[in-house]
Amino acid sequence: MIVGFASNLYKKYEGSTFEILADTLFSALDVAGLNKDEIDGLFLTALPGTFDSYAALHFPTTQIAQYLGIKPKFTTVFDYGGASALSMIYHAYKTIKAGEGDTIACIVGGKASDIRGKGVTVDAIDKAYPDVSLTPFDRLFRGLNDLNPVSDYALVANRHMYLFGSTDEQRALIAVRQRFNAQNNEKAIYRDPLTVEQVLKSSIVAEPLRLLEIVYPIDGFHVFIVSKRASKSSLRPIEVLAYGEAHWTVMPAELDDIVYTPAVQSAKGIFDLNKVDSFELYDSFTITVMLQVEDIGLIEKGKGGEFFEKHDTTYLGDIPINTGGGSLNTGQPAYMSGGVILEEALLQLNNMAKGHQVKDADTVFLNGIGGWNRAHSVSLVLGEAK
Amino acid sequence: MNLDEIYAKYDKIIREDSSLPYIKCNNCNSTFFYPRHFCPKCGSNNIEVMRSSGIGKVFSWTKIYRKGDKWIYGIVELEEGFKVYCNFTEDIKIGDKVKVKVVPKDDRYYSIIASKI
Repeated sequence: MIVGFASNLYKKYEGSTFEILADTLFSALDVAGLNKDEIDGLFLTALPGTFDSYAALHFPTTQIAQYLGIKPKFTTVFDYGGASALSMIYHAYKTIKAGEGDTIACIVGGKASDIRGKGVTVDAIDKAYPDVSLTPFDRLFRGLNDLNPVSDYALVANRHMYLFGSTDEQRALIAVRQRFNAQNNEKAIYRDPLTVEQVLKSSIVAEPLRLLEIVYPIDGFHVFIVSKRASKSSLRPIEVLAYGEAHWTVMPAELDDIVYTPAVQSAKGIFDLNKVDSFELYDSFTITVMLQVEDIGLIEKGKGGEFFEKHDTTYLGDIPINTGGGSLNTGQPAYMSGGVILEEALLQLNNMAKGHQVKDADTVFLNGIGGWNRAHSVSLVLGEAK
Repeated sequence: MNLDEIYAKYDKIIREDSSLPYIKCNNCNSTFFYPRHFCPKCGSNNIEVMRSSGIGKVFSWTKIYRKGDKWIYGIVELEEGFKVYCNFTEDIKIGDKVKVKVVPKDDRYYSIIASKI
């Protein structure tokens, strides 16, 4: 039912966010062989500050439908940050199977360059826009000097090293492997070969995380068209084989420990991992990937570093992970990596991943992590129904 | 106690001697720092604002480098059983014993600062 998809990624797009969105949507519709008037559902995720410098869009789905000139029967905003893209696909399938719609456009992206230009990130947007509430406890939080989400994941990485003895070299290896996978990915902005030494020599942003372990925020959109009208699409019929989501919304300081993600819960028992041909895991940082190989159950907790030493995780390897190089190498559109990993999964499943294709990729396991301080995890398995 | 009353008590404790306030649930004995007008564990309204010793251990930390500036940021686990985000005044390691102080940053926000003891 995923009948079309497209992306447009730019380091810095000089025009309006609405332009990139519309152009990407039209490209995805072309692949699907559908026109915009056939869209009856609009699924969207939007983060503060990523639409033309405005802190927020008032009624975002209305504004987007207004610009596109479409009249959807229903619209929904997904609020899981980078994990939203995966959730949209599941809910689009469910909606269509329930007979409530025929064609749903799932839209993820925006412009990161405006916020990037202010020297902040979307999770530290309070440093650029004073009237933003980050938590119900802002009065006791916003007086602190942080650099979320980098500092949040840095706390996790340091504690992971302390509890389990994981190393800077092990995290660096994740960046190196992903770069290998990115070498032939035409969407990647970073494609030169990379060594562990180069990662370790890159500047420290928030100890222990270094520059080459951190995504670069960019401008762009991913659009996925889910429809029961598949006759004009040449894409393979893909089913949702398994799905799980989990939300740990407390302040991480109120968790028993910070080294677990909600993927522990969203991925638990949903699918036999031995039957997976490639894994597309959220890669905002190297540590994010290390946490997920543990939390989705590829290896026991604490051994994520050793996992990357033991297994070849390139697209040619025994356990391929982030086969196109991930958002660490394409850049992260509007501070969300979900569209990047979802597009890569679809390229793999449709044998379209030129230069980074996993042989006979029939089943892909995706995991998205998103929200302020890792609150949300969405696990999704895509493949052809047997 | 509603949230405004809780914040007023927090503010009083902070302005008296830079102590760290927290909330204790008299029903289930759990403690928490980030204020709700009920206990997030058991839901009871039988809660009380307390003054922490401020003594705790570093739970995790990071040193942030930004435009020539450096800040140390992290989480401290207090001896009363709750954890808080804070900035540190000096280099620390996980497990180091620290004392946490709170000072008003302006009339709305507070700085939470920990130093080695």
